[in-house]
Amino acid sequence: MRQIEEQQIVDERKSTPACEEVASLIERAVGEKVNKDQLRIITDTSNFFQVNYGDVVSVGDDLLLVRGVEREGRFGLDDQPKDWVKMAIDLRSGDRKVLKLAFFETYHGNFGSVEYKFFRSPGKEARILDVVRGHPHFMQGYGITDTKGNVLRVLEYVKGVTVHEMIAEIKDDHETYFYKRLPDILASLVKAYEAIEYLHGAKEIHGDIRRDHLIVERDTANYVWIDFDYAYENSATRVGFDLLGLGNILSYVVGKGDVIMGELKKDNSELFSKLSENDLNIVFRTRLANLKKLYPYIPEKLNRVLLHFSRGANVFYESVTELLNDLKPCVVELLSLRRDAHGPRIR
Amino acid sequence: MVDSAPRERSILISIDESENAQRAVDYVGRLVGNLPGFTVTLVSILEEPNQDILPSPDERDAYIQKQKKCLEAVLSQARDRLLSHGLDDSSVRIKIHQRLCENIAHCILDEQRLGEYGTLVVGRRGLSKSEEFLFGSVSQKLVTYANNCTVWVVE
Repeated sequence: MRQIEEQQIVDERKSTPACEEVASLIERAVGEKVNKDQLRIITDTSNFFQVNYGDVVSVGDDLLLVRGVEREGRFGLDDQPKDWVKMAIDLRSGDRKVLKLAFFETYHGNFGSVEYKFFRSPGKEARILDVVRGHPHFMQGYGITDTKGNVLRVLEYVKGVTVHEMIAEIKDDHETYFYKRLPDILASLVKAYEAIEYLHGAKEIHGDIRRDHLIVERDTANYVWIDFDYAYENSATRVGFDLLGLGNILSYVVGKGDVIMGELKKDNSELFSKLSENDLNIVFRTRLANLKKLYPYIPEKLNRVLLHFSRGANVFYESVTELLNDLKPCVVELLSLRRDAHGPRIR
Repeated sequence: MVDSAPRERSILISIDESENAQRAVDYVGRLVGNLPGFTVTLVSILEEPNQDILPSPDERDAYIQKQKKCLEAVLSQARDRLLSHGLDDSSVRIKIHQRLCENIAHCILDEQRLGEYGTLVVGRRGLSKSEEFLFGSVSQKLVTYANNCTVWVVE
């Protein structure tokens, strides 16, 4: 197998930029001298475990120097390496890029009596990158196929922190946060939700809406969606999982974190004893959805939006448009509350 | 649409392999089986697979053919049940509606509108609230969006 792999690399070299040229580009881009005889130029990325630091992926006109793998920490857990996602330098432009290789992860689950299947689709993400090109609230990039037909995505790196990290770093108590910070955060969140509305209008879904897939871009302060390669089988409602994700983010942002029932029982047993099943998140029963019971200054209008994602809801949002129609007036109300509570408007 | 039936007696039953669909068939059979003037069309929606699930045209064709066979068997059995309830052979039709569905309920409503059926019948799946939120309820969507017809939801 090793001999075959080495032969493949030699064969590929014959049709790729000369090693001297690539070595020269590396030196110019990152200031490192490389031994051209040890340089690996890869055109077949089928085995992403074998695309390593120092390798150069040659695809189309692109030459991408691999500098490491992306890591994903989820809500305080240790960072998990995502071996199919490489940090890279575009040797022609010198720009930092994210290079996603083809990975066809699939998992099946049961939700109550309903079976569903989630899977990664590189083709989906490549297609969506075309749909959202130039949109300020989606990561930018393009899809391209390698010599074996694998669909790679070359992405602009989005510099910033996730919404999860941003909220977690805020030290204010909830009431101060609610009046001082939340109105602007919600105003930005509405724009991000409008982006999902646009996506759904283009007959696409994000597929993995989570608060660590929404980045607060450092230079623009725009909220930018990333990682839309997940798909799931069609159901009676195509956008159900996306809507659930949007509801969870909204609840997290309004609550300045998830309100977990176990913690509430310890910290506020009196309130805990007054809560019912209907106050809980419709899917995640350990989370409080009826946040007004904990934070009584939350306006009724905003709380009603949150309650659409509770077990007590009789009516659900069927589209992002419906959610936004209810959420936008809440933002207006919060902005006016901030003015009333603190005199001149805080910028 | 069969010409002789008044519109409200032209019934469309949407069925799949589920038990609730069979209950809907039996309900209609018991209700109208021996009554004159009714026509019943059994329709199954064959959803074309999402391109992200089956990107290759050959896989998609194979999937569609397999689904078609399965639905034809389901429809045939449902037809036999209606006949056993007393409906006349000439009063029962079966069809498969094949298309890329954004939403199964809208596919069913399209079929109802095209055929000008006056009565639409569907079985209720009995989902929990969270299941309904995530996966949707076809029967609830039909009740909400049906226009110019009667909807029977059979438990």
